[in-house]
Amino acid sequence: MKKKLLLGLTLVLAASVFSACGSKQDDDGQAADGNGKVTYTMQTWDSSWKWDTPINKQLEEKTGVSFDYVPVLDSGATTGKVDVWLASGDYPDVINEAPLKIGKYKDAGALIPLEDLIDQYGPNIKKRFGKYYDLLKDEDGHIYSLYGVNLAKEPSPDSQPSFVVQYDVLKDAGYPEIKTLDQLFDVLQNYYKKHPKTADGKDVIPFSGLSGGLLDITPGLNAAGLPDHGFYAIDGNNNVSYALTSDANKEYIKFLNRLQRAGMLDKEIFSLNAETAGAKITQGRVLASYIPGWLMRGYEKSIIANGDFDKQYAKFSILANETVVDHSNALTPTSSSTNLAITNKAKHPERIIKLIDYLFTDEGQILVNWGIEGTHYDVVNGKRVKNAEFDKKVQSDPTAAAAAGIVGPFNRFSFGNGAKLDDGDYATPVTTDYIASTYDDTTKDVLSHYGKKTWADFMDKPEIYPTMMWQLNTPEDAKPIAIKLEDIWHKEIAKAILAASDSEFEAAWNGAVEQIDNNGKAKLEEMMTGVWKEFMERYNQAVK
Amino acid sequence: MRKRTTAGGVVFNVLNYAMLSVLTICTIYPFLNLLAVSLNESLDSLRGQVYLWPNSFTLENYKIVFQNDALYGATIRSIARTVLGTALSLICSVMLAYTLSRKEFFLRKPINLIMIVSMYVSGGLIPTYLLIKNIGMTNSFWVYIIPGLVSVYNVIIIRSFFDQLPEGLIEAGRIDGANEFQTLFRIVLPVSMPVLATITLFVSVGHWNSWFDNYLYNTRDNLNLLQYELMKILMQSTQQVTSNATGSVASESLRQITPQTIRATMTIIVTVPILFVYPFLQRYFIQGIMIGAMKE
Amino acid sequence: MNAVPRQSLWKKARSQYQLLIMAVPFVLLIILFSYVPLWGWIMAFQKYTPVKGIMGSEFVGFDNFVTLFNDDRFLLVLRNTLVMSIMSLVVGFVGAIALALFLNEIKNAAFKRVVQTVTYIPHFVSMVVIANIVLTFLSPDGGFVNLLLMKLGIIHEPVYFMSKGPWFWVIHTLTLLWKELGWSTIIYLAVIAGLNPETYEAAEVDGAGRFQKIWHISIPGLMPTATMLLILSLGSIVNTGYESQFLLGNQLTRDYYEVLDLYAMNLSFGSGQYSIGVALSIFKCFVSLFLVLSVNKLVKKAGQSSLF
Repeated sequence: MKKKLLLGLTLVLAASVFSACGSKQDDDGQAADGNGKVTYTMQTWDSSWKWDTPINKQLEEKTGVSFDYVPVLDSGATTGKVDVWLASGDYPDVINEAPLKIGKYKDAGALIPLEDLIDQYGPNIKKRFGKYYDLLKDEDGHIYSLYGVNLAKEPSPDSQPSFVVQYDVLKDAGYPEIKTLDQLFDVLQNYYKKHPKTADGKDVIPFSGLSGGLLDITPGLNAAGLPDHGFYAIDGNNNVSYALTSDANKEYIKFLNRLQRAGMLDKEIFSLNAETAGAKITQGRVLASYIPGWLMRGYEKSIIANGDFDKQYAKFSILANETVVDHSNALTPTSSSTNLAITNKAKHPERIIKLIDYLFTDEGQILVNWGIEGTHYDVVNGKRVKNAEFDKKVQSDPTAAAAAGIVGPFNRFSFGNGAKLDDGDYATPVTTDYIASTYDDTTKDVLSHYGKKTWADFMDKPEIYPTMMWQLNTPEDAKPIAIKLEDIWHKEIAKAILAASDSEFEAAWNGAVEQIDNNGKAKLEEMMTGVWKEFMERYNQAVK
Repeated sequence: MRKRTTAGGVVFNVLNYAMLSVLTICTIYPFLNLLAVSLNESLDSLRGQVYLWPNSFTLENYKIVFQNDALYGATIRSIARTVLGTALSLICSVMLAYTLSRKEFFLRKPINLIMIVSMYVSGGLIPTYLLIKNIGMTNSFWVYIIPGLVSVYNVIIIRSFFDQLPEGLIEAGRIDGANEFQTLFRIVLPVSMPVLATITLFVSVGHWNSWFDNYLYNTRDNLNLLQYELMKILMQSTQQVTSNATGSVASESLRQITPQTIRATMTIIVTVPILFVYPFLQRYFIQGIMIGAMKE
Repeated sequence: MNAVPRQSLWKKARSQYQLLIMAVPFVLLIILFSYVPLWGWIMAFQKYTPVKGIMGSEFVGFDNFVTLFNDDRFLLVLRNTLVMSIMSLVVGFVGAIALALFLNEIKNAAFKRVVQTVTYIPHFVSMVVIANIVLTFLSPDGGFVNLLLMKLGIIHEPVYFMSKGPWFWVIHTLTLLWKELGWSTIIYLAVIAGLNPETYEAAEVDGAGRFQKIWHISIPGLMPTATMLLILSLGSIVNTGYESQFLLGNQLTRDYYEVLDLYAMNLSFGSGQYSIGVALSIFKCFVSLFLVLSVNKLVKKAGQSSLF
């Protein structure tokens, strides 16, 4: 017995000893010199990506650089791993983060400035950014992160407005082009009177959706014609105001209240999430809603898979009333969202810059957006076309795209869908023609009634904005106020939506406005105005 | 011994069986539902009407998950961690608990206090990470075993069980000249099967299900565990839904594995092994295990 | 330990050296992993950012605690936390012990095994899934409960359960019960299995019926373990986590579902990010220890077997 015990104890002790020497090989496998093959560790935000793909192999051949992906699964709230990295100094060579987090790394002194390297090794980066190059710079004149430049002058052909209306409803009404909330209300009411139940006996829900911001913030601001600056609206003098309590937003909340009083609003809209709302939509019970494209696509795949082509949804750009001008279709010159930064751990960072520079050449763009000729795309009559076989593979196997390397951390350097390269052809396969060709016959038919080719055509003329508010580095002290106001908003505006009479509605609305005012709105507006004005100064300087 | 069956007894039995059956039906629903969803086509599951039976049967979801080669190594590592971790943890916890059940042990009170207090204090993520890093356990297999080696909660449960053993048992051993180790392993443990089975279950399940330490401390792919690899798959399907997919080729795939489906598949994969382990341990929860020891 | 002549202590140590070998290494391990990282508590008194580290972060004294407690929502949040915790605690305990006792009365081994195995499965199902099942179940739009109640004529319009504030507490407690009942019962089953069957046999000879046996033997047999686990759980009363509340709650029930952990998370998005979390952690620690140590004393006084 004693022996067994001693063995057990020795095991434990040995374990601790081994653990101590277990991890000395914490190196990054970097080459000693500046030439030859080099491997860097890079943080990625999608764990399905792997380096070992044909496209990445090509990249490696061209530049000699390869990457070890380190996936970070932190969601917004739990920033455990990133904080831990900063505190322990264990971060990888290359990080990919939102501007706010990049700021954190910068403050910690973990990032290296890139402008000299770009001057030397990144001629294509400079060329493509053109007059927007200085936008990459920080207040202190250094460049700490890289992102893509948007050379497309039109919105992406696969973008779509977020107000969705079921085909059946439109057919029944003779394909009206719905432009205002009142129009939508009338169309829905007429259809609902005639069809209170679906073909298989379930209740029809005229208007449904997800709870939270997609219920009471985003659609309202959208209908008010505001560009997507998060919670804010920016006037001509670069003053930032909190848009939720503005009169423009009130129209939409009134609309929801009207629906509710007419019994047309989903009874449980306040507790629906993507899954439960999605179930109702894919079952064809919902006549209209506000669902952004990235979410809608998933639902429509299900509807199509079930063969319910006429239960698909048309996407309209709907405004509060006739007088509202739609500024919501925004384009920014750069595609800053998840940005790349190089940490002080990387040896010979110029190799990385060289790789990114390659991505800014026509050849590089074709490689990451189109793929390899013959495998992922073909050249037909001088124009690039998706390779039919590969396309079919991607359609049927959700992992095929990642396995080929056609999706990965480099796509964000794309020049934009609809942009053209120096050879006159498109930079990416996502073109109007291609998107139009993916539509099923029912969709094509519906679109033809409106004389449009794709849903993107319903979006108003795009406007170029220097940047969107959420792309900027907001001051840390602004965040708690913003969060608090958002919570107050959700709680108070629910009362307005549920109001049973006009007077009740007004009281609830005013109550919400008052609460927001009393809890720091002015301070928040002040801080954000400061941030915006400061950015505009730099922007105007840079773009002169 | 006469067993008296009364009318009241029969009624009670019937009600008991009935009530427990209802309870069983209620609690098995999530599992059957998840099983059905995992065997249902992902896009069809979006329509939300899968309850106990798949509407559109497919093995696709399992195929996609198992397609992931990383899973095989990860499973082996998870099994290794669970077996080694449970064995070591049991031995150490039992030893510590035993000393605390000996009333004459002079350090009993202070150790109890140290243990209890440790249950409710925590330094936070960063100091713990730095500690692990400084003793060299980052990127190592041992970070899965050593920090969690002795769970105070488990020790207290075992100790409480030992406390209730009759003194006569230990006395008999003493008289025969056994030392502490022999008393523990030859006398106390054999009659402690129920609590040992319970703690084995708790500890092994804990090891089998953990992924956060993997995520935080080990960046090497060759140290990944099953639950972590599955978690990655789940996170990536969630991210693919929410990431701005404009212009992304992946969004054009007509097949989409939704987070809902992945979650269902994952739960089944992880839970089924546990379902097999429990009945095996359950035979230790039989009353009368003590009898053998007392009869001299 | 009071003042003992050193020699006696040393002698004791020597005579109990085996026990020392069995105990000390593991106590050291506990100290290493639980107490050593406590240096991090200083972050609660700073405006800590991982960027600046402990040395570089600004010292702000009790500011973080003030931020935490000063908010007008703090008391509301505390109320929610305590109410839900206590409800879960009571229901959970009574339920687990009751289930163990009922299961023990089942003579059919196969049935017993099936019930045991099935009832603990929800413990392994993610809260996300459980929450969605509950939401669908209680939905006013074709949910099972509403359909049933309407069929029975008890109500005429479906009830939107998830919109009702105080009901949230009940729904949340029942959801947790459903999820954890089977798993929490395991320990009690183990304890019952360890009780001496001779006691039961003796009682039967004396003419004890089923309930008397339960009342006089099973329950007292379970009491020490139950008391101990109860005290331990009391310590976690402020540690509710936030996942289940967040998933089941919505903007209509905000004033009822917001718990301490959720509240702190929202506060911690600002510049005090990390520090607020640590400050809350310290607060929770003191509350927990206070509860555990004082209840333990009370239990000792009452003559019951205590935690330590």
